[in-house]
Amino acid sequence: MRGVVFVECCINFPRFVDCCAHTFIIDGRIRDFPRVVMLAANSVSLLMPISALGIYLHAIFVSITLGFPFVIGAFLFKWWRTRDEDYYRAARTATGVLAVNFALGAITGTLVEFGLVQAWPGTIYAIATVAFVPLAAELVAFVGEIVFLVAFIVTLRRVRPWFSILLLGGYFAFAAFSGALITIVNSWINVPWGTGALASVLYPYLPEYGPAAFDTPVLVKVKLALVDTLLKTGTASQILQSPEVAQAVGISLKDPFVALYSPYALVSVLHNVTAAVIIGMAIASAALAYRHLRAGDQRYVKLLRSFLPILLVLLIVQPTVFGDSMGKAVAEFMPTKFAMMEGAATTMQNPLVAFLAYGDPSKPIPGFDAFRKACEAHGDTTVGGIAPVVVTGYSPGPSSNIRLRDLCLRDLAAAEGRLALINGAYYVKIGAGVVALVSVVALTSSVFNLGPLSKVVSILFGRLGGRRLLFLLAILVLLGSILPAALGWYVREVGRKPWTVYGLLYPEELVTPTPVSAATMAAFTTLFTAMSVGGIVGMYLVATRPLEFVRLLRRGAGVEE
Amino acid sequence: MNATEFFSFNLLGISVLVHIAFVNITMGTGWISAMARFLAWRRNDASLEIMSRRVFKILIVHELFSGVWGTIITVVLAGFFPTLLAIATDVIFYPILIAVAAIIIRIPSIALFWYSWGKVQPGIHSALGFVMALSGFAVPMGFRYIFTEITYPHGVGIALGGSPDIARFAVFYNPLYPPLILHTWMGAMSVGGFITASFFVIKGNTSPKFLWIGLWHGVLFLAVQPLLGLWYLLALGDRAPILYNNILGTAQSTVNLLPMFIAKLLVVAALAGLSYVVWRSVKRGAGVAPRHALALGPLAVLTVLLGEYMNDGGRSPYLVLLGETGLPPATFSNIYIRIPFPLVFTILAVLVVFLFGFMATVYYALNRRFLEDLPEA
Repeated sequence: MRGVVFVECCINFPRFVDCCAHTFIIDGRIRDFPRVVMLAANSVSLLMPISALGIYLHAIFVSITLGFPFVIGAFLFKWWRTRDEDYYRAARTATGVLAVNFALGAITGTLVEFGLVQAWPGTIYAIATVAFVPLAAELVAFVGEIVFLVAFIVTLRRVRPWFSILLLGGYFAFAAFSGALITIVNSWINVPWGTGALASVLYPYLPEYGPAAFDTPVLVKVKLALVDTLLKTGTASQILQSPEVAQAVGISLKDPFVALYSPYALVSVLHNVTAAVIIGMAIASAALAYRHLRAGDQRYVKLLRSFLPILLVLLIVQPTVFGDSMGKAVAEFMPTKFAMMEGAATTMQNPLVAFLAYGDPSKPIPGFDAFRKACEAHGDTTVGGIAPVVVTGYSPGPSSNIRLRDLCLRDLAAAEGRLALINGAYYVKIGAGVVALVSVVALTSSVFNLGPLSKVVSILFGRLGGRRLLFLLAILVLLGSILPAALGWYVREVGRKPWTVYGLLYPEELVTPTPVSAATMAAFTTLFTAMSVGGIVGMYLVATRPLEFVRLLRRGAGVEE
Repeated sequence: MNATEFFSFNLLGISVLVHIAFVNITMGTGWISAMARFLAWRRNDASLEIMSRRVFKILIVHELFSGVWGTIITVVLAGFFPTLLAIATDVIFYPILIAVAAIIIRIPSIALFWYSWGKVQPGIHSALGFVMALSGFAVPMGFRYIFTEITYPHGVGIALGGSPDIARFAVFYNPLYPPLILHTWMGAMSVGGFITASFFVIKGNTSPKFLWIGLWHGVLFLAVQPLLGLWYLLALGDRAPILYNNILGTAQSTVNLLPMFIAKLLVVAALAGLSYVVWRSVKRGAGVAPRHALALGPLAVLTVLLGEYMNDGGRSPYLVLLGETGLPPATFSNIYIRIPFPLVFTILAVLVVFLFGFMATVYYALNRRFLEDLPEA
């Protein structure tokens, strides 16, 4: 039995200590080592999918939160200019959906936040340092969102349309600000800006991450404490519970604003927020196209026209400007992820990709062979050999014998194991994005007269009939928006593995020390999923049964009865 | 405490107080709304259904904002007291999980209760209402373990003794917990009743019948509070002498909260007296709703705030109490960075502005009945 556990350990957790070969004697406790390491690995394998599910569910609601203000704003603008009540009624219905959605977004966001500190308490160190400023500022964004949304809802039609649009704009501004701040934190774990050359010392193929805003010896001390505790006890994050450890660590970050300066964060914010807005608007356009398909009422086409040009512009800008910048940033700062995206098991030439990524078609795309070669440069250097150079008064621990070359190669192997998956996901994402772009151009051409373009669409899809064509194109836009976003997030998160903080920290170092049972987590996940599904059903009810909704509200207000 | 610790301690305290004020309103009104819905079904009384919906509007406008302040507490803990949060998320893992699960049930059930009105069988809808209401009470059921552990570290003490696995379940047996949670629940019920009573005195919303229902809810649960309060105080005397001495302002106190304790008793007495006067005016819903009944809700909230202030601020200069001594906030403070205070003050100023903005919006939504605008044909 011990042998089975030991082998599982080597498969799941091969990177800290050479447990498959020879170095698994930790403080003389040979038998304990495989068991204790399994503890963190098991928790990670159990909690990681739950965290991912939570984030994906939250993303659904965030998309509507960010996309619907454009839709409602367009309706209100048209209502203001034309006094056509159809626009007002549509704005009111969409506002009901937005209100339910916001409640669900807020609650899933809160749960993701709780999940972060409870399932991954090691992140508390990041929250207390580099994420302090973004998360503190996010409070303003969150409260601002609520104040403007409630003010918008209760004053709708009580104030002039331009004032409602202004309130809605305030709501969107804070919602986008919130999204931007959270993206900045996420960007830091992708590209740990401010850690200087630390990651590149461990992994020579990585670049430097900005100026050393962190105190490097302190950061190394934290890393060593995490690894040594993990190897001794099976989990690591509990060291943050000790006031003595906190005192010993001391000031870690010299510039708390450093996450805001990351060039990777800036492009990520533009890319992510725009993606969310696109999805939200695509959901609204699909809903209108569906109603048009079912009812054949031209009113829905009229409503669609009011915001479709915005969606068209965003779907053009997203891949050509923001997506392009994002790709360049990944190529510059996350070489393993870029190699995984491009399927570069070995260094390869691809003039088009190289031109897009580096601005130089002749530049080769570094593959895993190049990274492995870089790892070899470590020679026989061990953690214990290099640590005293950085940390004054270093005392050897269980990690002292780890060879940097082995560590580097094993982490590469772990990353390369996901190459096919990431490569496939990335190119499906690109393909889906192209479908969305073509579809939105066709959709716009079918509801506006764009001369030859409209004629081409009519010829190509004329047999389908107007209603079905509109619905088909709207669905393609929706799928072409959701798929790239979902897969893009997958590439972003899984592509930085095996690290949680790229090049610095593993999930096993951050996971909770509390042993969690699969049954408890299954029950929790079921509850979480049921809640989200119930919320989506609720939004559907609000969108499809507005008259019942209004009648009931009137009863509640005592107007009827 | 130095200036930084003093600031962090007070920031945490203020966030808790604002959160507590809002959640007491939402928990209490949630219960009354569910109860009214249930009785409307059982007694076939349409007016009670209208009452249920109107009371539910109070909950709706306050719920999101109360949730925000819960988030603020988490961020303050992570940003200013990371060590304390790390301990809590480990030793108090399961109670927090209960609270989080309750939040998961609470929010969608609020939405479902509202949107399924008239679309499902009244019995099912009433059951949904109770799920919504009871899940609200389950949230503090989890979180109150944190408060009892920082007052009397029953489980944390076992964890520090080297048995974290036992400690994670031992927290459920903290002897301070039963009186504290009952005191909390009854307080929320009472606040809900009095807030409801005040709500139905507002011009254009007046209803002696609904006022009376709120009033008896408030009075009923207020009546049991002295007993529960005394039980909690005596338990503090046994387990947390510092807090006990501070509340009673004894010679051993580190901060004298006796004036505040007396103030709380006076507010409770005023609340009881005012309730008596209003009760006489609208007995069984007959009569005229007196305008001074408007003060019932604010007085009830003030009672809760005074109690919570004593429970939390009464541990000063410590954050975690250990019998006759304690651990100061500095033990758990964020020493990983130099807190950028100009930013923190700016954020706080903006939050205060937003708080006033929100109150103004709530005023228009409830008092000026702006929510009525939605039911247009």
